[in-house]
Amino acid sequence: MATLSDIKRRISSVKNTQQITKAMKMVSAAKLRRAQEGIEAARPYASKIKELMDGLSKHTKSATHPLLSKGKRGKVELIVVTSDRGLCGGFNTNILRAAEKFIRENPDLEVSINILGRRAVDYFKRREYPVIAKQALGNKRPDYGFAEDVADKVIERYLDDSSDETYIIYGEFVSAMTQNTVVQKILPVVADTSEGSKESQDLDNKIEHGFTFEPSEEEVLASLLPKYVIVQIFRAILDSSASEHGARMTAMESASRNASDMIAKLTLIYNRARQAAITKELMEIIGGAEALKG
Amino acid sequence: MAKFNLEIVTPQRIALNEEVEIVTAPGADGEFGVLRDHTLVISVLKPGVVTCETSSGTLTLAVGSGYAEVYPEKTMLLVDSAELSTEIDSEEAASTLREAEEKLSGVSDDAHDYKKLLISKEHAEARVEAAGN
Repeated sequence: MATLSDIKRRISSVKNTQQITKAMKMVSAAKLRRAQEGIEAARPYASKIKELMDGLSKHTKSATHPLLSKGKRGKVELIVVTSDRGLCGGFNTNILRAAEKFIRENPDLEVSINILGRRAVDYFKRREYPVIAKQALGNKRPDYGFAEDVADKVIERYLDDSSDETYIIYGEFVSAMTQNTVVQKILPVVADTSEGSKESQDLDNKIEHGFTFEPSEEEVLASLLPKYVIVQIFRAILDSSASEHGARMTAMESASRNASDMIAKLTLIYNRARQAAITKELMEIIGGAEALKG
Repeated sequence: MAKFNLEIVTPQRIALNEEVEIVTAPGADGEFGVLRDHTLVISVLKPGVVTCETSSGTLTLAVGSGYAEVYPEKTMLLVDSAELSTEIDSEEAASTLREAEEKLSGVSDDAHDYKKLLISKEHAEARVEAAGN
């Protein structure tokens, strides 16, 4: 049986762990809040760009920009967005599994992988997939310039025929508890030309009622397409960052709870062992006294 | 003079939301000014300096490339970045410009990243100009 001091040492070790998980939970909660603010802040710009995009691609007759369609399939670039750090539950595992599933289910496609985030860099290091680019996200908050650099290279590869399609896999942020793994097509750009949304109908009317385009409708669209790609990648990175912190917060919350349970259990064992030791000593003393008496 | 709403939106924040009398913006085909009741325009913007007149004085901003959507009662600038002249550190802006100029002079004008470097140089110039005002 474990001695008293053994149990004591275990209790203090679990307490230390709990302190760490509690601190990590608090840090993640703060980072999550900031990441959510980032998502909020990006929304007006993103929805405006999308609105312009959808409206324009519907109205521009000569919508033959290469970013809109290429009429070719076969080579796919897959952007996999994970986090740099672990200890965030199943967050990275889910994304990596979705990436593998995508590759497995499309054996006719030649998939090359573009990695964002150190967890995926480590994961694919040991596996035999063609990796065309990899980088860590870094410690700072996600910024637009970073997404721009990533998008520039993605578009470049698409235009020089290294890839015919581009997909991105990332953890969409739903709430601190829930993240959706999303596979989204970003190239060729698919404009939402359905009559559905109210905004696009508004824009329809505006374009019908004589918006002037400078320099020209085609040129506005041509410069808008890469922006749209950047915005989608930026959004994926922002969402992924919020999801990561949410997942870590949840994971650390349950880790702290488990540590509490464990401490309670160990304390019980400790007290029982201590009581047993006291009882044993008492018995010995009484036994000894009885022996003397007799 | 009659005022209208000017909103400058970047991917990371809403940089400005003010009632203004006039705004000038760097269009792809040259600088243009907007007053209230302007006709509907969507224009491509290149990196440059935006100025606007508010009731409390003139505001100057350095903006990245983007778009302007002009309505009679509202103008919206969607740009990569926007900084008020007061937010720009003029020394930092000057050194960024020097770096951008150096990089640009290092490549020939048919290099594939020439355009990108040119845009970043224009943006750096705009920041220096805005900071100087």
